[in-house]
Amino acid sequence: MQEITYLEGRALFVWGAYGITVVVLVLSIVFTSLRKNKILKEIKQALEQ
Amino acid sequence: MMWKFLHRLSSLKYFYEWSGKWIPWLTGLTIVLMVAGFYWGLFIAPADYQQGETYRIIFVHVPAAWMSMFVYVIMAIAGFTALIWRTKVSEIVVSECAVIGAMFTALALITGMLWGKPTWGTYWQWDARLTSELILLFLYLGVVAIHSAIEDSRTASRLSGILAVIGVINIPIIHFSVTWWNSLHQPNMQLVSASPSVHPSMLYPLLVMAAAFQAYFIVLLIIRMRNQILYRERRTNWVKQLLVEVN
Repeated sequence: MQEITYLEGRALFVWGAYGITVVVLVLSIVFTSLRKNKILKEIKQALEQ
Repeated sequence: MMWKFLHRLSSLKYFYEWSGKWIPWLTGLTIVLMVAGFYWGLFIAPADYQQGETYRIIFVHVPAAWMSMFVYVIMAIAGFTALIWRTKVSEIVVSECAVIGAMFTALALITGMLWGKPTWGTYWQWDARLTSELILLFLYLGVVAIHSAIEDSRTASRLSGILAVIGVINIPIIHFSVTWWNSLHQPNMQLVSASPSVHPSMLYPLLVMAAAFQAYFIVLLIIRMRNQILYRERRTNWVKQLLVEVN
């Protein structure tokens, strides 16, 4: 366990690269999925007017 | 048969309905491949004899870099199709690929910088590979900017299609930059050869991650395209009907 958090003193770079990748990929798909609800809401409001 | 299917797929309504069935399966596949790739790359693959633990960054950097070029080629093909046949689906592929491609390119550049600092001693160098990859990011942003600046979606699609097709020249430049110029970047991996330049213990997790990124791209592209289709077709009866069914 200690090794994976140390990684020869390069843990910040390795975990940083993986962390940024995961955050970007997850946020991108979550926000894109949420956008559908927003679009449907906009269409509904436009129809009601 | 194939042409008939492609012709049907060019209908926005048909594409919306057809693609929706694939999302749960592809999402599941993406999650499985991502978890396997991340775990294999971080915990199972051995350390490199020269670069030590730092090399583990390649399991996210290389697939991101491959995808940055692959998505551009898809965008250029869609741009060409949109220019010639004026299919709305192709136009949507161009605009959505630009956002996704910019994301992969930015990831490739950032993870490359995080690999470069401990390996080369610097985050950035105006090297042929890095510079051509940065140009790729600007090309993607150019397509995004065209779609944001021009209100008429069909005019924006034509202009961005032209930019996408012209910009494809940058792809072989990126690929061969390490061969054509003296580069700080390491040479291209020889994956398809009698003696691959990467040991199987590192190659397999890399290929799993590449497959994961590919599956992720397809899922994200489908979801983004469906959103765009809903927005573009918001005045049509089938979308209004869909809204009634959702409620």
